[in-house]
Amino acid sequence: MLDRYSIVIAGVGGQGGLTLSRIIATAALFSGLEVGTGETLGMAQRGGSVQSYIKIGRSIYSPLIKKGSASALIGLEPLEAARASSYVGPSTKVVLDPEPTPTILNLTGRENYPPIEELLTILKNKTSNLYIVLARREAEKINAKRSANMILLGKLVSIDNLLSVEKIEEAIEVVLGDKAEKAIEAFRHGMKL
Amino acid sequence: MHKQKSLVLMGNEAIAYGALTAGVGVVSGYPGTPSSEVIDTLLELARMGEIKKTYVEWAINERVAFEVCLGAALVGARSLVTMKAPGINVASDPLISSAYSGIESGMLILVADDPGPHTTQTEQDSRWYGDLAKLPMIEPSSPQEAYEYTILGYEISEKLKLPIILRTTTRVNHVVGNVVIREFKEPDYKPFFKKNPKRYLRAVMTWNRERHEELLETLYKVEPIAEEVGLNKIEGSGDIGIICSGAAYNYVMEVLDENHILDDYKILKLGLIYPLPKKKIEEFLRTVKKVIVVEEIDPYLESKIKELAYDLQLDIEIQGRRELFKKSGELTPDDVENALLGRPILGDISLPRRPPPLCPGCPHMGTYMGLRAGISRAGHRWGEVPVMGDIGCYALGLNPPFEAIWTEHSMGASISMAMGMKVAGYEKPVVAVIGDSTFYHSGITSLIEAVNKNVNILVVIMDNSTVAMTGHQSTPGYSISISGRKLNPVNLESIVKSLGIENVAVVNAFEHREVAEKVREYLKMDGVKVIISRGDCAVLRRRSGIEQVCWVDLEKCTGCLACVKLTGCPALTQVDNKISILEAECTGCTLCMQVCPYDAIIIKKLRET
Repeated sequence: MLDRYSIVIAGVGGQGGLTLSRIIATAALFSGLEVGTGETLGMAQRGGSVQSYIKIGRSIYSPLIKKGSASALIGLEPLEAARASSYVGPSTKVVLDPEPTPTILNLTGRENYPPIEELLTILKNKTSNLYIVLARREAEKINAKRSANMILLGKLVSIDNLLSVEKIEEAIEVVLGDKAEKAIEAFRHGMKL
Repeated sequence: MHKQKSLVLMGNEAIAYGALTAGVGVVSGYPGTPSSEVIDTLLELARMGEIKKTYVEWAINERVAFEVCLGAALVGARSLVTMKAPGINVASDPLISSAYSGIESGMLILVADDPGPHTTQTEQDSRWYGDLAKLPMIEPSSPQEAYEYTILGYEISEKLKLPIILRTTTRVNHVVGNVVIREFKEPDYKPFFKKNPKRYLRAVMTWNRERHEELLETLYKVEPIAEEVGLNKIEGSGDIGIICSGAAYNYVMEVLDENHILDDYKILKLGLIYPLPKKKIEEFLRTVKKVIVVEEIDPYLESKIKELAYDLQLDIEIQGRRELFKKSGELTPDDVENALLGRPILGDISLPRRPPPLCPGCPHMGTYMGLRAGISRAGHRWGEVPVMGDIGCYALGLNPPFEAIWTEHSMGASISMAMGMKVAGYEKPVVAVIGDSTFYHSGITSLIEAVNKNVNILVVIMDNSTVAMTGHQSTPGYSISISGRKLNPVNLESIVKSLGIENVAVVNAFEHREVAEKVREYLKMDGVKVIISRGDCAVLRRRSGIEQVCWVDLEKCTGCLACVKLTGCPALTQVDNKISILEAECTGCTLCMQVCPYDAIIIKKLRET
């Protein structure tokens, strides 16, 4: 691993970005690493754009990540992933669920959701490491509806060496308690995709 | 040696733990992002029985919370009052007087600023309150420092006999990081109050002038004490100086470290923000060739350091916010790298917005639907009757499909600003919408004023029985607090009726027709009318268990989208030109069902009641 591994999680409030960030932070603690996470809590939590930043490793001064320098972007939603694309550089790994969540402006007919291809192109122009995972559908397949975030984490862990599988599963158990079993199943499923 | 524990904590949790380590006796505050989790954390510990002696409760507003904590600090309890930036404006009256009286036991005032801003009406820089109130101010940069400074704050407060302001920003309050903590201490004091009129009475002007002079003398003692406890530190030995504090320090260190240029710089990290540690800064200025001040929001340190250099007649280049940084918005590591190394900052791409909607099953949806219909039934167009908004979730009614509120200003302003429009002669009806907690906080005084002056306005109190936006804190309407304490709940209707308002109605927020009918009726009447539109917050209803959900009969659904366009409920989605309800999101409020022209939405019971 690099001295510092930095992750941006982009999604819609309520998609499990905060839980994901907490699990990664806890796994880092269990691995004896320093950790810093930064979130915006409050009004935008439910249904708005949410970005979380996590850094793990050594000499972590702040969770904020410089533009173009993230080690990874976990995209829970394509419009939100594209919104976070300024953090993506040539070496950034992007794992993305391309299934859109329409905005209230789309639903009420005020404007159209941008074509998915356009959003993917924004990311592809920044990095060639774009991994598309139909996370929500895969989660439904294994009857773990709320675990799309764990599927994406599984995918990221399978392509990049940030934390050990054991420490992540330990962290899932601590953070999620009795809901951990399904989440671990989803995490493992994600690793195979 | 104290027992130590290594944890991963949010800055606000670290402040709560710091207060407990310092043996805090009384904690009060009003919720506000990014400050709320300090008291949230303490209340949870109280609920679990892990804090027994310490009084921890939310107060009706910041001014009251401040005075509660001031009173406690006069009788020997260490106290902590918490607030967001606009909260210190509300508390500023007692804040400024408190410097003249001082305290006996340590008092800490947490004010959490929000550069960005992420969730605040202004990008207020509360550091100026140090100067205004003449109260010492300290600023941590990390969760670990937030913990340490809270404890140090009490020590400094007691040495000076003055309240201390602990100033933070979002990226300290809401950052999660490694923190080593020590054991908690039970509050240990015998309440005792010694009469001392000159200190505690502001009714004698000669005393006030004398206390002012004594205060100015006391402020000279702050720097030596700060030095003793190591609040300000110098790192590195290069000849370019950087002066910074708070979160800005983290970005400076990260940029210097990543670019391997730590050796070129010498950094003065200030933990004491007011009064400025002039000796330390002078010493620093004399050892470097030039200085860059890195800070957020206003050029606060920059102005003062330039003034100091002028007074000392130092010929040194000092640059900061004014010369090298953007003038508004949150500071980032990119900004620091740009200022130090001239690296361009990559821009953000412009994409369609995602405005945060009201939650699925939010009672405010029904109120706004009813308000809209009622205004039109009273013979006015939606869009010609100003709806004055206030601070809370219902401000999200600014977004489609409602686009309801015209203003959102400060706590309680909906009612008083509506009154202002009427006394200025505005002809159309004016409506004020305000939440229950905001009404208790500051709306009550506005309502009394409107009643007393017999102004013609409609006030809609949107009562969801909680402080929803900041994470469901208690209101004065609670009978048991979050800590488990028994309370005397105040009754909203009784308060309103006691003012002598004749037209007061309570309606069910989930029956939009009932809301509409009352709005229609009241808009035609003179004087102050109050509608209490009541419905529990959707998040609380979900927590206590959902008994039914709504379901779409695909045979009947024509995909007309009336439900989406009228309610804006995020549980409604469009699949293959028909409506589909996300069962996991639906709370069964039936608002969509009430507006479906084809009776295509039906109730599905989740369990027998």
